Amino acid sequence: MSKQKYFYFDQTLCFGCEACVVACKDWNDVKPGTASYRRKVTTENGDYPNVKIHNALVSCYHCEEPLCVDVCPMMAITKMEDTGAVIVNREKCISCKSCKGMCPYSAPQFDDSIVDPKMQKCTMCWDRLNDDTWNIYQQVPVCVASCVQRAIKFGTKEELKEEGIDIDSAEKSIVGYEYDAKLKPSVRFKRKI
Amino acid sequence: MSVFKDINEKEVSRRSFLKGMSLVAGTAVAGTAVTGCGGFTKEGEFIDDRLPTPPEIKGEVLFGATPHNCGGGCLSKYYVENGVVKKIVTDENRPDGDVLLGKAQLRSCIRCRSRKEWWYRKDRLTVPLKRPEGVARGDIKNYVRISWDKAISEIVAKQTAALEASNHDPRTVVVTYGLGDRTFQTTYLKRGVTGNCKYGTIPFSQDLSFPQWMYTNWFVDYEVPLPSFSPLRFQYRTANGRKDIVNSDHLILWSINPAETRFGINTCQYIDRARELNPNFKVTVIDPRYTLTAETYGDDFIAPVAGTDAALVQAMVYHILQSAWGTTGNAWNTDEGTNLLMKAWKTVNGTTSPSALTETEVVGYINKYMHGFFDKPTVTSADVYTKDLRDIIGLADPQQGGDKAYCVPAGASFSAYVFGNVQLSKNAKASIYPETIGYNVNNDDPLYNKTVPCYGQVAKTPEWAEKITGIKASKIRELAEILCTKKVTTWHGAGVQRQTEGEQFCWALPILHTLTNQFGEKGKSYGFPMELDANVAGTSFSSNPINKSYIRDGKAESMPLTHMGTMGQLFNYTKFTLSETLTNPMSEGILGSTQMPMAGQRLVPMLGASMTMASLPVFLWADAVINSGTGKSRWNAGKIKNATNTNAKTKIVYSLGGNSVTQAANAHYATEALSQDDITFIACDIFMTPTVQLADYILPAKAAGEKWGITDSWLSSESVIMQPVSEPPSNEVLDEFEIGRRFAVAFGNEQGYKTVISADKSEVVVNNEEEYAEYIWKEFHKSHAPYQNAAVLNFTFEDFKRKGYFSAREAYGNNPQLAGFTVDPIARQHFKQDPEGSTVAAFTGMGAIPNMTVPPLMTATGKVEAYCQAMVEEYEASTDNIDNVTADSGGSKVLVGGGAIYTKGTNSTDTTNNVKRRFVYPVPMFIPAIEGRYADDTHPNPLNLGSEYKFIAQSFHEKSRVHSTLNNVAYLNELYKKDKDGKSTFISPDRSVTDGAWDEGIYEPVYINQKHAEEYGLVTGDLVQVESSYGKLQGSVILTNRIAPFAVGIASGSWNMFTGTDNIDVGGCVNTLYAGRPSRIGFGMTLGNDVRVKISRVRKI
Repeated sequence: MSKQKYFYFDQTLCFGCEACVVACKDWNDVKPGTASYRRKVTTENGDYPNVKIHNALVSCYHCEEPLCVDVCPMMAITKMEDTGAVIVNREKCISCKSCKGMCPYSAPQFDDSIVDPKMQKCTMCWDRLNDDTWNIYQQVPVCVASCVQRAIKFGTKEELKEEGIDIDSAEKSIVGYEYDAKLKPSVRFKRKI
Repeated sequence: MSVFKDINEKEVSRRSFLKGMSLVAGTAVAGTAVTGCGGFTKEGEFIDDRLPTPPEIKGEVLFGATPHNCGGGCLSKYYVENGVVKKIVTDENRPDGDVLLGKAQLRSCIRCRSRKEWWYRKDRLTVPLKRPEGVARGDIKNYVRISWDKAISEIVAKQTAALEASNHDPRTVVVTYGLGDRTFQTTYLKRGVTGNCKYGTIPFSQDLSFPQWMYTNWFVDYEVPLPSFSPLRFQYRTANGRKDIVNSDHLILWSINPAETRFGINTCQYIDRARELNPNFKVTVIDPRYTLTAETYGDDFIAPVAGTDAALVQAMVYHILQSAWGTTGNAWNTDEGTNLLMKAWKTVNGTTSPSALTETEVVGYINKYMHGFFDKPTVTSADVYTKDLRDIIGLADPQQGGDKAYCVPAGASFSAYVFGNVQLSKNAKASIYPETIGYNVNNDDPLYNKTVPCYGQVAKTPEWAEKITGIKASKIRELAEILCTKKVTTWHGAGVQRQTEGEQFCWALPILHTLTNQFGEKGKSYGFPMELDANVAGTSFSSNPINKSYIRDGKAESMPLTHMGTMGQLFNYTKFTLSETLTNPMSEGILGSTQMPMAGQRLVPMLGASMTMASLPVFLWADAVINSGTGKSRWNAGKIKNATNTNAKTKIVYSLGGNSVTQAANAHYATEALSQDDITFIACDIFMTPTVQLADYILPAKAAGEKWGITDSWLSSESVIMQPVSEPPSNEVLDEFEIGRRFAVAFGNEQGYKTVISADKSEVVVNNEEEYAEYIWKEFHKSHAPYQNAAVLNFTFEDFKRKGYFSAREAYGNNPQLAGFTVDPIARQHFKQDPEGSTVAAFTGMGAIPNMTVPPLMTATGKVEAYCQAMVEEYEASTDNIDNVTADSGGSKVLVGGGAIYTKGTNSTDTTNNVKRRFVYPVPMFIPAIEGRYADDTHPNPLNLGSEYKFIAQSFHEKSRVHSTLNNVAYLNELYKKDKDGKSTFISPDRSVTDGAWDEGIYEPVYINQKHAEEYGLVTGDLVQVESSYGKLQGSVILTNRIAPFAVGIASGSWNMFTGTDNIDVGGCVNTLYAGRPSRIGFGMTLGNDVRVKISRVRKI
């Protein structure tokens, strides 16, 4: 049984409120500035008033085959066994940005300031996943627990099946996010037409 | 499922844990996440030393809320270390359940999640400051520190001297409008600082945000509030409970955007559930801007040109009438398949007519529920439901208009207006209304002697409306037919009424819904989305207890304008047909602590008291401050200019938690008002906002999250606690209750200030803000005592503090005594079932008056007033209404076809005037906004603006602020604000207070339609200047198709920063652009769509 955790995003429900974006910055103490683990990508089509908006939330989705792990000269990036999370050891990072170059999703983030130049990225909120002290109902990444539209779900295939989501048959790409078959990001979608 | 673990098992362990948990709980450590884990390369090599460990989750956990006036009331969970919040999450310590059962988590939006970037900014106000003599206003570098005691004693001395000099004229001291945060502590502070105002201060009527809704609601369709467990239906026009949309087939979201404004928490979740439960449920979004709500929920998006919505309603009414009587207005259509009125009234109150309805039956229904939809030249007492009006009609007193009192003269009804110069057979004449209408303005006003069309002689066909609104006639017909054939709920918001003719739509919508039988039943209603219990702790009403210092001579708060003695008759009740003291919409009485209020009084949650129309529209505060006592008013408002006594001059102004300049009618004019040399201006706030910069004294206040309060989301009943989770930046930063108390001490009335009058009229002393919050909670318990509901009564204030929220819907559960409240209320249900009125128990705020026989609608006639004499009389009580200046194109200065209109001031014996043109008519019309647009570009141009002013500036709320609050929060800034290159940016949290409110080089987005890109050479990121006749601002262009062509979209609330000799606002405050001209009838706020602007590129990226 795969322990890989997946994100599932219902694009039809998302109205782009960015609660997940801010929640992520706050939880992970990412300073205001250019680094942001989650970014909203909005695609606008059509002429007024016949407009169509697609929101996609782009982040590290913890690829099954993460190239960033391979390219890091400091071997600072690890794919965790227990959850499939791709984690960076920031103490080892030398800010060479090799990982950024390999990632089509710009998941490795760099704050341009000299205060904090090392790579940082989504950790799957690994500190929250087993926090039995303060958080027993939402042991999920903070973005998932923050979504006012309940558009983001999280779990292994088996866990998500219990929520009525079949990862194997779910959409892999949506407007605003293209699946990379080589990297195999651990995210699936309900696609908005 | 394993992600959420086993809830039952966890509930047990959690309970045992919580038992030992105080507010200051022990340190939590979560260091076990990777126990036993290793790291693997792709080749499967185990490399352990790569592994960091998950960060430790430290600190104590507290629950609370920090909403401003955003519409939400959401729960936050804070991880706190040594008084500093380290992490903020939302409601997550319970399962997320069904919103229809009150079990959905109260999840917060980006605003409450970004508080760390708000509390801990280095430019917080931390000590009281004073502007020394000789230092210019706005020179923020040269404020000097002053002690609290000295500041208060100096302010009190100046205020006392000013009041003595004016013989305590109520206009001496003005407290500008501002809510602070949702602890509502500013209301207490107001009572503190006005402690020596013998006659109070000028009472403000209407709130700033919904003035035209409130004003028209007051006269047109105001429902008698029911006993305490009833909807919050005082002052605001509310729809059925939100949950009731599951009973609707169709939801119209008219100028409401719950996806962005949090119009009540979880409002979108109700729409989601309605969709799930009813696959045929459809949503139509009507808005000039393609909003997030339109994108996410709109099955259909109807985009009228901003400001033309009233024409849409007129055309829908025309189409419905035309289906019944034909275009000639005299051929009753007996075909049930095509006569929309027959369809609409087929089923009433659950009873379906077995046979086709006759014309008499349909007209009977319309007349049963509406006054003045058709002509009624001779009115009898049987035609109205209110006893007082029946008595007057019976008297046929010539002074009351004789037998013309509340009649609907020939050709003056609403349907006559809709049909224009074609006579509808049910009317006595074709429309008597003129083609044009003038403006009741000063003779030096550019609108003096100008007219615009009011279409009195035009049939309001869908084709007519198409040219104005841009909506296809076929679509207008389709929408009208939906209203006649399906169960429809219309939720409306505020934008539609924010223009100079905003009353017209707000008046017409209730008529449309009444005409189509879409009211008073399940699934059929119109108004703001709301929820079940007005009395739950945390509503703005419950949070504003009457306290003793608030009562003067047995009356609360302030003298109405009629009681300003010799200083001028600002508001003349003798202009009303109905006496002021009777149960009628104009009842003057103000709630006192020792007397049961009259049923005719209107409760105002903002003020915790009943309100009277004898008060000043809050939008006019700057006009009042500048012109009080001069006999003038910039906007010719009688309630200001009638005060001719020079004692009425304003000398002391307070801004208490309100950014009055940025939020004002026109930011330049407000700056002028607060910059007068003879005014002492005191601001209490947390940052150096554009308003605070003008102050003589600056008083630093605690922010939400640093103090106590109870609130809930707009019009809903899930209470959340606001408690201190973060330490204030200095011990000189005080909560408003305490600041007010110190003022009360200086005025020698501390005990009165601290003494609160309970609902049972006992006196309770609250010594501090926490006791005040606890008092509110206890009052809620007290009101529930008779019902013995354990879920309520066992939930103590301590439980509330620990848990953070209280869901009334969940708590009421299945308690049989509260059965009526577990189903959401149906607005105007009593009216629908028995409009004439039977025995109901009226709720007056201080308790129920049982067994009182009143008509369920508290309008003058007891019906929905399509023709509203009372509203015209209210206007005439302060302002002359006869238009002796303008004329129709043929030179006519009288009504058409020999028509006449009667009010008490211009009654049937006044044959000289009752035939004349008016500025305000008794039926809702379509009148173009002064600086609006039509789809076919034929909009009149009464101000003779040049052709370069081709855009409308359109303001709206974005998620990055709450009005002007939070404009400097970095996490929010970087999602919206742009730098000179069009890139995301933020205002540094490390600035100092003397660096001022804002920075050049940080711009507000300006949304412009792609269509204009080429003409103006614009690309996204360019710096653009937007200029109206009243001001200029600069912002960063975002080209988009979400905004209409010929509109310039700018979110409201960015802090103004005037620079250069041209006073260009580089802060991007959209209110810099508006004229500040109030609405035609109620003098309400118009900061929405009513200004023409030109644009030019300033800098290319």
